[in-house]
Amino acid sequence: MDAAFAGKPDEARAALASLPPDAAAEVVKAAAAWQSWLDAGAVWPPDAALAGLAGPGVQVMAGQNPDGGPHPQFRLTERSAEARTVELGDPTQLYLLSRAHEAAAKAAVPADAAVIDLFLAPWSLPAEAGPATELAIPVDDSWIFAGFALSGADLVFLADASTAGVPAVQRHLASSPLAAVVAPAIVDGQVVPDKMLDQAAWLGQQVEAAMREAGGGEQSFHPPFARLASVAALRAAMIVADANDQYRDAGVLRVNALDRSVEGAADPVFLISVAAWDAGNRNALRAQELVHRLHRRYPALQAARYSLDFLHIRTSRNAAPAAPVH
Amino acid sequence: MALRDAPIAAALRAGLALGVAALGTGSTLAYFEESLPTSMNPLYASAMVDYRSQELVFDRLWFHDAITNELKSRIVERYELVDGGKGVRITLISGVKWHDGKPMNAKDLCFTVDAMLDKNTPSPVAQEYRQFITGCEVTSGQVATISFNRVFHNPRERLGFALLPREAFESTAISPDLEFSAKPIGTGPMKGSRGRRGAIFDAFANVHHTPQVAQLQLQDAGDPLVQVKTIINNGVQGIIAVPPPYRPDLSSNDEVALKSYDLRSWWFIALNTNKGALADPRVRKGLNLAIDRTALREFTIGVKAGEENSPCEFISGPFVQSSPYYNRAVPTVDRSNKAQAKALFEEAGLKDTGGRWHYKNAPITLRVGMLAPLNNEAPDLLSYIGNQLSDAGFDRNDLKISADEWKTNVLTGKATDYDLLIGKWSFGLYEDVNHLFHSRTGNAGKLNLFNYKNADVDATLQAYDRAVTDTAARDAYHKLHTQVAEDLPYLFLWKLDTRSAWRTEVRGNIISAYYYFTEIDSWKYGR
Repeated sequence: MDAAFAGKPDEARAALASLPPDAAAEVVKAAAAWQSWLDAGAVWPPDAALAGLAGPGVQVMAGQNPDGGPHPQFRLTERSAEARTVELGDPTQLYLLSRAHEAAAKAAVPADAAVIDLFLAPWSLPAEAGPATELAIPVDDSWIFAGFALSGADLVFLADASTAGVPAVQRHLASSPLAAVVAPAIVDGQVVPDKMLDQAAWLGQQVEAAMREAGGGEQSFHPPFARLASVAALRAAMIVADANDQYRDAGVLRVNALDRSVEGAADPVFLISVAAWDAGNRNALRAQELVHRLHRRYPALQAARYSLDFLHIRTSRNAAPAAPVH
Repeated sequence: MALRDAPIAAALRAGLALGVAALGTGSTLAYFEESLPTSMNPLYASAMVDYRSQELVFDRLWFHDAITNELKSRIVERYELVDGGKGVRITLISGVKWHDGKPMNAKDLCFTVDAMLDKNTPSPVAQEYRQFITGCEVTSGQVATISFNRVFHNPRERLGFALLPREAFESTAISPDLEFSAKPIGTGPMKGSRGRRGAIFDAFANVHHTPQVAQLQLQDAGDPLVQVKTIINNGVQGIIAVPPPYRPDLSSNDEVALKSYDLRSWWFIALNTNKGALADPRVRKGLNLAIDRTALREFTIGVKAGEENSPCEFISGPFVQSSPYYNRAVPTVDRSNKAQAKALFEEAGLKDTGGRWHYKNAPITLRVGMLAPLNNEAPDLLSYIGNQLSDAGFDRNDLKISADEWKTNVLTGKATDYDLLIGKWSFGLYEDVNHLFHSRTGNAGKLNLFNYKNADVDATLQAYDRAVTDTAARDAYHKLHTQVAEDLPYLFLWKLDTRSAWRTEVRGNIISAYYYFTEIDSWKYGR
């Protein structure tokens, strides 16, 4: 259902129409749910139509990591002489899980639902509407502590930048520290990765210096916060570059942010987004490594492994040969 | 972090005058490699350092962009499929010069193909290409057609070989011991030459390359602590593989950046299944249980038991755990079990006399060899394994094997006087392990270290080769994993992430998966 998630209902209709008449029962059930959403006009979100597909793992409870239900979600028979079994994960389950998390978060702090929307904005699906980019409520420090926004205004900036790109930098320059850090790296309307790497390093140093001054000396907890700020800056510029149609430059920033995403700065949401981006580029090697690293803690990610595994096998069996070396 | 919006934004704006002086070009970068390249001839890469060095000197016909994974070429102007997909007509760009100043043309392309097809070119890389390339014909100056023995919808993906200069060779039979292996001629961004203590790569401007670093100096890595101190003091600017215990030191240094390097490397102890007691699978299983991998990993790599997201992860077969070919149903052996090991040795007929195991009334002395450069990544691994073998009741004789000897004796299956060999294998996207385990017959088993033979394993490897569907290929390798974990031609140890370190003055240094230096043209050095 990648076409539906990509906001392309016509392609989704065509895909469903190609479903063979003897498809497995569980596939037919999932297809019927999506078809009902398409028939009803394909108005996002499709949650109501998909409610019947939510498995036992799609329950979000405080203090527990939902496992996304049993894996694999589909076991199909290959149409070959050997009729081998093909295992598949269903992205619908991951979508429903993410919606359940969102609902649980909003239920926990209903007054801050708008803040949650801002946090989610850079990760929204193409089919989803963007959030408001004006924040009318104060953002408590607890929302941003040890995170990748340095201030509440950064959340607004990042939400705006995820669709507007470079113009958002100017719009939020006066209020958002991240916009202020990204701005000097923009030359002739383009984000310049090398300049941004300098900016990110500089921000980390400034944060460390400020903490040193405020605390009366160096403390062992200062560097992790400096690293968070530095990675936050790279990720902000990446969001701007992505929306600015600088696909490769955004990739350079993404890879650099990934390199620095270690220890406390290893944000699983960002890491898995890099894996998804790699998969979109048919680069299974790093994507598999990232998913593998995360799936023990977040078992629902197992759903992503099946398709990644086949992407790897398909691309490697068509790749230029190389002998094993030491 | 209680940062308030307005003050910090103002502070940041004030500080945005942050100056970065103009980048210097024409400068020299020095870096530590795992070892010296064993060959700079792309037909004879046997170590990752070879691939990385060759990437500086040569152009591969097609390659993948390090960031977007897009398939690209720097030397092909255009191409078209011919003969219904059983061939591809390639037009090379004009004006490209070899490092000796001669122009590159279609004759060079066809010479390279002919050299790979020549059975007197004993190259494992060429052998793989022989499986599907049947010939190459020059049409005109820059145009040639490569033919295949089957239809390919996207043959460009498979054509990743480096071009060789026709005029540098006397015939298409290219042997590994030519002068070319030390002083290669390519069309890549750097002109390279290997000496006794290092290798030098000088920028070579061309119509398709504009390197911004004048010279790269490859230095043989020594003590990892010295490497780390040297990069911190700016004595060198890069380290290709930083051992895990030293990563925190570099990670906390503002002047050095750790960089990911996507490579699939796994470590092993190969067992000589044709020698003495090791021919008995029960003895091999006993050794598998006598080795304590958790202790080895802690002592040599610094990973504590149970540490999450460790750069070093145990494996139970010949793939890394993230690979689709890894059979996750086969458990790893993390800890030793001396009681079970003892029972297996006794079942195999070994006698315990005075705490030493005897075979046919003679004490067993195991000759253990390790690829020497591995000691930099896992310090003292050879000694620790030797100590564990001693504790288990075996005398041992530990020996480090140089990279050159590993290439000439070990990889060729001639090191049969050893009982155990400690090494690692590295892979990129292409994870074909058939040559490691297939019996040495005909063209098969070229990298079978101890001439291991198992008819069932051979059959499984052939099933992998014949696999038409992805599931068939996966199932074959899952079965292989189960078979070799049971029969144990290797004791499988772990995979180890590779991380590089480069000083922050090195800019634009994008690291490609596997080949590393594919994007060297964008590298710059200077503040």
